[in-house]
Amino acid sequence: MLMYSLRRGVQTIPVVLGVVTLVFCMMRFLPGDPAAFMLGEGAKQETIDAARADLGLDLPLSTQYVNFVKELARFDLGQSILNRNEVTQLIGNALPTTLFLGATSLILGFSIAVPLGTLAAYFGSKGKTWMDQTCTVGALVMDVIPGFWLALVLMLLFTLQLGWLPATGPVEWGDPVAILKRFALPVSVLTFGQIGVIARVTRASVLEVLGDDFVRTARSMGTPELTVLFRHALRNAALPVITVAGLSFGRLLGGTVIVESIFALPGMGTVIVNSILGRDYPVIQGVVLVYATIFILVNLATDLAYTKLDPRVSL
Amino acid sequence: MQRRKFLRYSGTTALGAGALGLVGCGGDDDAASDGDATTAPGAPTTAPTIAPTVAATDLAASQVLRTRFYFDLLPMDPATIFGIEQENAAIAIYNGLTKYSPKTELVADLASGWEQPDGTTWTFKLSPGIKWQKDYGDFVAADVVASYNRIIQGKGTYSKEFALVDSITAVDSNTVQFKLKKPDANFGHQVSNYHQGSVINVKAIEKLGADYGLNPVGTGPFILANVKPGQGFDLMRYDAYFKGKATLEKIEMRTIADHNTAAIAIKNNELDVVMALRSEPSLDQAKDPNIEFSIGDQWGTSLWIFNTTTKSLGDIRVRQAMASALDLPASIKATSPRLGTFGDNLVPPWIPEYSSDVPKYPTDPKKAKQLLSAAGVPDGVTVKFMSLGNPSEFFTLIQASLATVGIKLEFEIVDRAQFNQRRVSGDHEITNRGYPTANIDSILFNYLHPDNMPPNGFNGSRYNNPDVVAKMEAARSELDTAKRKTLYAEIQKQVMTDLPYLATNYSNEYWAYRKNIKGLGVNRMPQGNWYDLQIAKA
Repeated sequence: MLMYSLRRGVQTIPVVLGVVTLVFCMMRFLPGDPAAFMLGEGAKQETIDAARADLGLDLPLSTQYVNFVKELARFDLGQSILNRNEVTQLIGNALPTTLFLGATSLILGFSIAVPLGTLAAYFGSKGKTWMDQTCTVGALVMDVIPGFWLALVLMLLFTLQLGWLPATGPVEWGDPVAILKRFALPVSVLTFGQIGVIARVTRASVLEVLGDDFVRTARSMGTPELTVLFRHALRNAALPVITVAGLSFGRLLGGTVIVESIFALPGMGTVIVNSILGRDYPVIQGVVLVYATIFILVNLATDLAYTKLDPRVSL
Repeated sequence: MQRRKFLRYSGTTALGAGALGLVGCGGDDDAASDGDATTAPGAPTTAPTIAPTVAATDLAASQVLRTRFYFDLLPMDPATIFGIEQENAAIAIYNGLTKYSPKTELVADLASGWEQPDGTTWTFKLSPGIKWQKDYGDFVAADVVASYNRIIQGKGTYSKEFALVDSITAVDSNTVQFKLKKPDANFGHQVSNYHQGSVINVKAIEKLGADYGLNPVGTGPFILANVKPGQGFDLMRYDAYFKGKATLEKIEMRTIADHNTAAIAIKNNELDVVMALRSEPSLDQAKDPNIEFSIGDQWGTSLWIFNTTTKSLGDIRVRQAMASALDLPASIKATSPRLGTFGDNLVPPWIPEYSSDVPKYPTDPKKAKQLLSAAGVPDGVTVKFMSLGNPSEFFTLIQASLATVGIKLEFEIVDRAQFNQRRVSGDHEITNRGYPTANIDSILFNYLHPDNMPPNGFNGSRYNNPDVVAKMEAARSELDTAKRKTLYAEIQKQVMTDLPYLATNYSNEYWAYRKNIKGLGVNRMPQGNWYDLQIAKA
């Protein structure tokens, strides 16, 4: 497994490089100039040209790219064009918020969706279709409700009506209660979407497995139903669930961009939105690099999880 | 020339207001109007007022103001500061020789007063005892000279605003004298605490280099601190401020992009002040017995810029047909009843030189069709509107109105960086802009002077009328108020006949604040008056 992990780690490098190269090119081919944005609309052309030269944006694209890769090799992501902060520092400040938001939502979503999907499958297999359909429809509704709408509804309910949770405010990592309150609503929004996807896949997968011989054998041997369901059936049905959970983490990261903006959370989503608006190339490249790395690592973890769940899988 | 003294060592002038620089501070406002869309231009809406000073015993124990800021802070160098929210941070850090009061009057700031002995000489006497923040020493006249010369020498964006300056001299440590190449009756605006008029410490810039932007050194009542991109920043009280320390100890500027979130946050007492609520639903959301609004009413005209180099828009009859096809008052009333007021002139009605004697374009589809026929396009034309983000409901109504006379309005939806760049380069058929200024010269020169055609300025219409240019030059240098007003009225009449720009509305800026915040008055720049604020016991 160690060799596999190392091999995958090495394979990650060209993938990440490919992603950032794509972003590097896309951003520069998009209309909109960071120097012009920074200086405002009244700036004279010579002033803009001077700023571009100062930022190295007057160099040929190939030179800019080579410089970028050289700096990347030294783990130097450069400085923000707009505010001159080190990109690594910006990312370092924002990453905990996004990781906490994403990981909590994933774990919470997984914890709710898997039992929900499993129970739906169980009821379905037992002919209790109304319970199965209730779970399935519930999951579908969760999947299709737009996050931005849900965010506002939750704010109106829990912030304004009940007064339990804040809509905004500082993120104080040293105060667990404050963190719990601050993240409760945004995590709920992201979790909601996760539940819908994972529960439906879990249901389909478990339902299929419940008809297998080994389940019948376990039941005929008097194994308790819960054990059959969650220990035997679910474990054998887990591979597609894990796969979808890994892939949906990408969607989750996308969701953090909107949720952070709505709840004014200082995460990577907020950073990348502001940097795209201002064509802050180094920051965009840095954030995308981190996003891509996280996504790849999560999927690597997914692959590794296969071996634990199914010994037949060899890496 | 007869010696003229303007408000010697006094406070205010109603010359108009303005400091340009304003180059491009707005532009993305949709449509807006006052609650009564039929309100005649010229009738001002609510005038900002200042609450009385709170007695010491009634002040809250904590004087920390929690405020919504809606974008990341950008470098605070007045040579490049751009954007209403950025300006509102800068006015807490810097002073100009003059500034705008909550009623948008031009008042003394660093200067204790000024003289204009002739048309080309402006002499400012500085207030005594001014000290730079962060131990940069005494503030003296030479600092003003160095700061403004930096702009004149081309640093940044606003050198054009000082184009008439021939020389700046420190007469003594407390006196600064400007010699102008030509008279400029509105020069007081160019040295206000806005864009290029804010005075910086050049030594600090030289010392800090690129790091200066987020570590600025001003003379203002607050010092910038704790800048955290994506989160916000603090403005800490500067105790040695020359007008006396502010009551507020700290202003926490919290970055909250979403208007609805900001409205919910102030309602939930997470914020004390919400700067710029710019959506009608968020205004509804913020309604609460504990919340009031300060309104920078009619702060600027939202204009449609017609690119007259295109075939269809180059024909004045097509432009007039578009104006006649629209029912702007109804569209505004239906979609943005509070965020603006129906407007029919380039110049907002509160500017002293505003003239109501301009051609009007009441809704008249029949006339619109006649104009199109006369232009040789009886079946109508297709025009493209470059829109920042998705067009609002207002534009959907506009699109429908134009369609009734055969004008097909198509939207090109772009993001902010692209929008700004294309507006600068003039790469559009129609787009919109709105920018704050109290100086009529800023409006007219920027929009109408051929020197300011893209990419050199705001004249995106490429309007070039020698008669108008001559009158603009004459009006700016005319010191006789009555004669100036006559010239400005003639210009407005001519321009609204030629219609290179279509005024769609005057924008209103709403700031929400909790009732225990006293003294807030948003002017028409639109700027808040941070120094005056106090937090009373709730």
